[in-house]
Amino acid sequence: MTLEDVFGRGTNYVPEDILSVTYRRAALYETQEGAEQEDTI
Amino acid sequence: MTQEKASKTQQSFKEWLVGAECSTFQYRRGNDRYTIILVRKNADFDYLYCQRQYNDDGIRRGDQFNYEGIYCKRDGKVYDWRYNVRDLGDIGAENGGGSQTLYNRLEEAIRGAVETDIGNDRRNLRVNEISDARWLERLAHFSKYTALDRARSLFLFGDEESGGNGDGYAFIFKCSYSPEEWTEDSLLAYILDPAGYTSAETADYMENHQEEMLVAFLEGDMIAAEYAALLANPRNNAHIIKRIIQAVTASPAKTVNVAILKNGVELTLKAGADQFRADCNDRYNNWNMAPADV
Repeated sequence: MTLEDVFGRGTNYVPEDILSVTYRRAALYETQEGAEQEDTI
Repeated sequence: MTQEKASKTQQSFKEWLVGAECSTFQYRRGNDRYTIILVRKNADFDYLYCQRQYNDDGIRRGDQFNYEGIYCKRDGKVYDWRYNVRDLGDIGAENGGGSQTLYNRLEEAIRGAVETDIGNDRRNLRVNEISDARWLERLAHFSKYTALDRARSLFLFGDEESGGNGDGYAFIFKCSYSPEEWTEDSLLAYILDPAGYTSAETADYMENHQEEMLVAFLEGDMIAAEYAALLANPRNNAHIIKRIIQAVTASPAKTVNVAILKNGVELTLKAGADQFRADCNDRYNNWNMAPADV
């Protein structure tokens, strides 16, 4: 599923929208909100 | 030219032809033969010209001699040397430096001298306000268009040279002096007396660029103010972006999974990692999603 599938064409996202950035299942960055999520991968 | 003067010139030429000392030097490198001649510039300098032949013909009457450098009689070195005398050591000449090397050396010396004189303290300037309209205009432009971007960049990426390491900003004065391009006279004057030339140029710069140097301090003030404002505002997105930049930069990732929560909908997408190593300014775009997910 992509941003466009969910929000329509031309959709961007802002830094505040990011919950986590993950590389090979290891979280490089996550917000407090993101840390509280189950597995977002 | 009067007839009398022309006659004297002709006589001098005849005398030179008869009595001239040899000012020609020939040598071979590989299959090429080089013929170098010295032409007197003044009491301190000769100019070198060279004709290169791709065989052992010596010189050819239809071919040119090209400028190859400056021989300084005082120190016995060749300056501003060109391609055909590039291996000066091979032919017994000491290389005094190319013109670009001399230019860089002068620039570095004067910048260092000015920075030492100023000592990163604007009180060492004679002026404490700007009166020149050109500089006032530049400051207004810097305040409006540049200071915030510079502060943000220093906050995100640091800059050891100017003191920003992401945790604070301290202005360090850097002299922006650059020499004029060499002229015939200025290059010879510098070669003849580098220390004296540098000292005179430094004094000239200190005398005539006071407001320009003060502008550098005032621009530093503007960056510091923007930097402090950014630090004091945790809602500024630069704080989030910085954490992402530092985290992703420390990893070898080419692609990453990004979980987002947008308009109450949670979504995970795969994206190229490089965009997270840079300042996105205010948004990331979906052009950078990995093709497999688009």
